[in-house]
Amino acid sequence: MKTKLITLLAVMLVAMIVAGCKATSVPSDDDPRPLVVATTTMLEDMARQLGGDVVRVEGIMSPGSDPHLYQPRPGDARLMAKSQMVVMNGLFLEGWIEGLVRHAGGERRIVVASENITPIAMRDSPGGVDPHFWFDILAWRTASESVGQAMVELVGPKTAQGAIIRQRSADYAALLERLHSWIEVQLATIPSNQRVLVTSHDAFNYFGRAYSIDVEAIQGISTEQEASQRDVANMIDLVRKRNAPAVFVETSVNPSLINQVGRATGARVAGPLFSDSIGVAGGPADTFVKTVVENVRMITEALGGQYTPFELASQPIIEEGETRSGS
Amino acid sequence: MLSWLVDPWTWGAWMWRGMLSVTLVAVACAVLGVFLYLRRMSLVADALAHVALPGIVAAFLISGSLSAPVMLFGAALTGLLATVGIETLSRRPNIRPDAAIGIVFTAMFAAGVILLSTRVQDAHIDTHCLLFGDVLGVSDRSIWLLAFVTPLVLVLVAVFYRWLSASSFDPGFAKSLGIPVAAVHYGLMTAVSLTTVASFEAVGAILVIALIIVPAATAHRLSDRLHLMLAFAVAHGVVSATVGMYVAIWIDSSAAGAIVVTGGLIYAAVFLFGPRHGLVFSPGRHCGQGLGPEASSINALEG
Repeated sequence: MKTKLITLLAVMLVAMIVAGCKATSVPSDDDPRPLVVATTTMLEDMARQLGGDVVRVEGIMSPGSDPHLYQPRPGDARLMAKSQMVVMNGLFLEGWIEGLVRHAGGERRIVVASENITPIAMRDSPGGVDPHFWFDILAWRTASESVGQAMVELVGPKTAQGAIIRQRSADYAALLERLHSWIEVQLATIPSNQRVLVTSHDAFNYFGRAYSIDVEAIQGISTEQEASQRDVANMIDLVRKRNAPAVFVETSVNPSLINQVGRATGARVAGPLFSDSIGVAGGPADTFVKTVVENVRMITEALGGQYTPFELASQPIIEEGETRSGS
Repeated sequence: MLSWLVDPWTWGAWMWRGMLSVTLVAVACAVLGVFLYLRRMSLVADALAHVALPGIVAAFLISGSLSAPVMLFGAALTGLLATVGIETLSRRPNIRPDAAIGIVFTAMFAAGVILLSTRVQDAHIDTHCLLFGDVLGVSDRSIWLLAFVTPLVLVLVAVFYRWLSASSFDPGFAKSLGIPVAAVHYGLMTAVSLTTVASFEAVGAILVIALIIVPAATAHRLSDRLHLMLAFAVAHGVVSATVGMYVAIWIDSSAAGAIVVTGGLIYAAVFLFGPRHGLVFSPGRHCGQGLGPEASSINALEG
């Protein structure tokens, strides 16, 4: 009986340790390249696209996790302390990052990707800003210029590596511009009375501003805020009034509220849209650009538009696996 | 060979800062926890940790600042308010003390949540950080706060040791000796409020409760003598904080979570194998068997 209890405790302990395991890959010391740490998966991908093999890029978050609610782990602090450069989103998306960056120890370049973009103020809280700027592709291009510039300075503007990063930054900017025009073409095929994007949390305001589509969300900007039953009822009214053909769930947010709206209105529940994270490695959305393409495909199709695939390949774009094998 | 022990200290300032702050938290919590335990008021720590939230929010709304003295003052005030509320309710004939604690602190905590979601719009108060802490990025302010509060708690306990022990073991007897039992009680509650607020940033409002209750509970399985209990509780707190940090590094998990799980496992080990009341083997088992906590308290009084 007692041995059973002890065995049970031991098994629980082992299970707990195994469950807790997701070793952040703390890079070995023998890699001579400068270490760039990015917070969100979008920024990690951007840093990989810009840096190529010249810098070593590590991300803190993994696909599908929620940057509003992330809890940093010791591996992240260690990564921060080793890094030469940190790329963060800013606009209060990662509240947890401040302490981690400031108190990890050592000195490093900190790039706030959103520093040169025009933020959207939050609707009902004075002084607040919406952090989800990445779905405005031209704003994202502006951010990639800031990050690319900082990376060039990191490796030295006059070095061969600096030239490589400059070239890659130009390529990435061109790709983003092409993506921007493609999105405009896709969304233009949606009948104008159906151009409304209903989601669970308010992650698509920049998308709406950039591509003239009405965005409505049940939850506020941050997933931390809880929606009240009145919010859900208002949304049901709105979906009926606007005659929205579809409502969208998101990958990193609990779908129950949107499902409730879908059930009540008969609107199709579409998605899941990628909002605060890119897709998993090896999936159809394992880079930022592919993630946006997937989102636009789901939105265009669900709202009754005509979807034509985006040509990724006309620009050199590195694949996720290629860079991972190097680290 | 011992590189796994030494290496983390070379990984950056965060390790030193984290270890320092959790150790300070663990010491202050363990000492206060013993007195709460003896008074059968361990769960009051839970209440005080929660009512600090409305205190901080209210202080912020009134003063517009989140400086350490303001936060401490607000939390101490709501802490006292909650203590008075719990006392008043539990004196009523038809209200059980545990229910009184539950009623008062949940109502006040909920009021804090409402204030936070309606009146405080800009995200200067991070509820998530308040509840779970951020031991890897502890701010200078938080470390200074702990470096002030923990020694203060130790000094106060040392100064009022006799009053505290007498009123914890037998309030009636203490009163007859002329000890201001009520003042000691409210003083202890204020100290617990201040400690929980100072600990928020390091371990968060939820896990600080574990650091107050579990060391005292473990210590009581090892000794009935007050000074030994205090020593065991502090040892338990410091060991679980240190080992917990290492565990968090090995499995790369939340540090506060690992600290509390480690503390719980130490309690389980003492529960099973402890020399006095251990379930599995204990030399003096026949003595302790069948005697509940009441008997232990009587032993404590004698010892």
